[in-house]
Amino acid sequence: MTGLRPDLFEQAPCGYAVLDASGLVVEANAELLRLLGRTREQVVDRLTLAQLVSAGGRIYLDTHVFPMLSLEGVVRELALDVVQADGTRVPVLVSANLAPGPEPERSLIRVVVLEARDRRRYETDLLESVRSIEAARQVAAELAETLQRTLIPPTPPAVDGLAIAAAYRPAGDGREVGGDFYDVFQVADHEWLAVIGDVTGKGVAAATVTAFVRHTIRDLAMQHQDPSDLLQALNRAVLEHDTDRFCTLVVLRLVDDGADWSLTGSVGGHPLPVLRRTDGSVAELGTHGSLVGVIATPTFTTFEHRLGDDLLLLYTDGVIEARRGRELFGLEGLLPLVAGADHEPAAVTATVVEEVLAFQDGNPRDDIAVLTLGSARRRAVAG
Amino acid sequence: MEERAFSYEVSDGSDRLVLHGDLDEGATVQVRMLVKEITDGLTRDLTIDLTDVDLLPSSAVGVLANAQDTAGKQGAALTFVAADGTIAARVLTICGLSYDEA
Amino acid sequence: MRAADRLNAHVSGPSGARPVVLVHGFGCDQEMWRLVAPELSVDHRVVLLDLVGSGGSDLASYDPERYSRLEAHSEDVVALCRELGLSDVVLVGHSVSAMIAVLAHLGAPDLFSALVLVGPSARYLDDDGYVGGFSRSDIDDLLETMDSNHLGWQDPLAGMVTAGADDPALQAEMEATFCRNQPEIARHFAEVTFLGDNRDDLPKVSVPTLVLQVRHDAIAPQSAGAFVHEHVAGSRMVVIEGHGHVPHLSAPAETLKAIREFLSP
Repeated sequence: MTGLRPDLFEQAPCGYAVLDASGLVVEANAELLRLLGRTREQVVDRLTLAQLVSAGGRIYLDTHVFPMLSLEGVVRELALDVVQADGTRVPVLVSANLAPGPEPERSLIRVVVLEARDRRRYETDLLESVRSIEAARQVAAELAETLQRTLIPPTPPAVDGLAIAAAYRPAGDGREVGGDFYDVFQVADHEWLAVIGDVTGKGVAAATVTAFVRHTIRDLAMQHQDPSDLLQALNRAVLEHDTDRFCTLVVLRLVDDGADWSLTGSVGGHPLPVLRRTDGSVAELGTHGSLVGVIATPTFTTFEHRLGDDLLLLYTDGVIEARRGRELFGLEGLLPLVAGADHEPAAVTATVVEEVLAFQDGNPRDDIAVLTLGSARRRAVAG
Repeated sequence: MEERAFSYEVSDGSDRLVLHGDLDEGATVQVRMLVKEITDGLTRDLTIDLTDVDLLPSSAVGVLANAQDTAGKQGAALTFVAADGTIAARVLTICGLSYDEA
Repeated sequence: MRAADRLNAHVSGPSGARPVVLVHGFGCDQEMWRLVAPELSVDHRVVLLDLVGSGGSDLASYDPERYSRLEAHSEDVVALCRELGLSDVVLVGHSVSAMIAVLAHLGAPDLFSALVLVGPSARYLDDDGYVGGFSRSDIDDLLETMDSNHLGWQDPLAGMVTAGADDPALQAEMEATFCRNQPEIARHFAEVTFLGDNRDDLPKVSVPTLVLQVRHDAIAPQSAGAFVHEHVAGSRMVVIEGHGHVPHLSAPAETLKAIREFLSP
């Protein structure tokens, strides 16, 4: 038996060393010396394990490995680099355990070292791939979020003589912005355009189409006075945009003639605007038109209205499509609501949003966008 | 939220397609393929009955409108049917599509 | 979240006794104090903690931007001491936490009445006329070594495919072992530790300070310990014979002796 053990140690197919408590190599077998690229005389009782590994490995030994050995008595499968006398680095896997002595200073450490060149190369490649995939994914996620955030409908501008109350409530946690949008922008002296719409779908793909539509409308508004002509042109643009997506839209042209706001509008595949008169009566305004960006020959009809003291409500289908069980909020829910609200754009918008959210217990299944307009002049006069 | 799964029947003679339940994304894809198939690539007349549809999102309507348009260009008639007061009737109206009332 | 929970704090010892707060350094967690804490807690109020990002601390609180400065850790230590209502505190910091201790004292002069700096280094990288012991390529090599050693933490692919951290069996396995810190956090902490420079903070220290230096410490060599001793006015330096960077594990009796003699001369 005694004759066998030295041979088992010396001729083991793995590197085997014994260290004292200070890390000095006190015994080393043939395979270890081969891995170290050194002779017995150069190593045993001369060098510590720290002196035989790379700089990073040295730090790692003192900050992680020796404390772990001290606390747990064993470490397994450490990936370190041995540095040979000529500077060649050899990747190895190390396991070690503690042979406690009568005092900590007298304990010994048994260390097994296995060469791991191929494995290390594979792991390094793998780690690199994972890192670059993670980085790419991170970039994509940030881009998507940024894009979507810029498309959340903005606060409408202040328009002299016009009171605007707008509200937007995204569905879910708001992280995936849907296709709802609204815009109010100036096209000429005393002329403004108000738009509300809904691009099919959600997420980044819908968001890019939304961006396209909003941008294109601003361009087209300069070229097309009549809202139905504008929608025809927009329809062509969306068809050409090479996407299966399309949108629904209400376009309103508001002209301030000094005494009143005169409106012309057109509706494309979207719920009609709702009018509220000072006596509380409500009615839909306009004529239904085709979806925008689906077929080559859509139908759009222009309507006209002098605003006077009326309020005009634009909204997206998330309002009337709101559900509670099998019950639908619908137009039947919306019209009485508007009739019962105070005759103020802010009041109408707030009431609609509150009621629609309450109807769905605070969880809208679809985005909700609401835009109410009214002349601000009469209030100034009334003081 | 009570949602009925999508289902359909095709009449003998393949000139009438009756849809039921929710036309969600998956159902919409199915309907598009189905309509193309039973009309030989939108070259034969077809009536699509949407009376019993609970959910008709705009993406589904887009598909139907497209199909109707393409069929029309090829001399075939795609007709929608929806009973008065149904969800489909309302949605088709909003989307500017005409339909028969059953 | 309370600081005590965030830092996985454990308090032991008589409640009226002078508080001793032990802050582990880079590498592991409060377990490192295992061989000295029980003895100290006989007649001191001993507070053990895990720095945010290490051990059983609240990993979710580890915001890399915030914790790119050691001051963030020292603010946490101060917050914990205030939450526990401590005063006349002896703050013991090992390795990089020796600097965290210095910063905590500077940030809350009323709280700490003595500092014990175990294996301190105000700067690890060599500089003009200063021997920290390391070059930038040494630190890069350390980061590479850490990348290759996740010590039983989930492998990098797992993060892509499944959320293994929710696995209770895996959790149990990890809880039974020590010095297993989340690889991304550990790597970040390594960078913050080894690329830091707190030399200018030393002269501002105004409480009695003990510097414990292991004779053959490869991480905080004698040149670094001497620098700290020379720049903290009135500090005492004790050299502990032996090798390694963790005297409270490799030479616990000598470590305790030096601390006790410092606290009650």
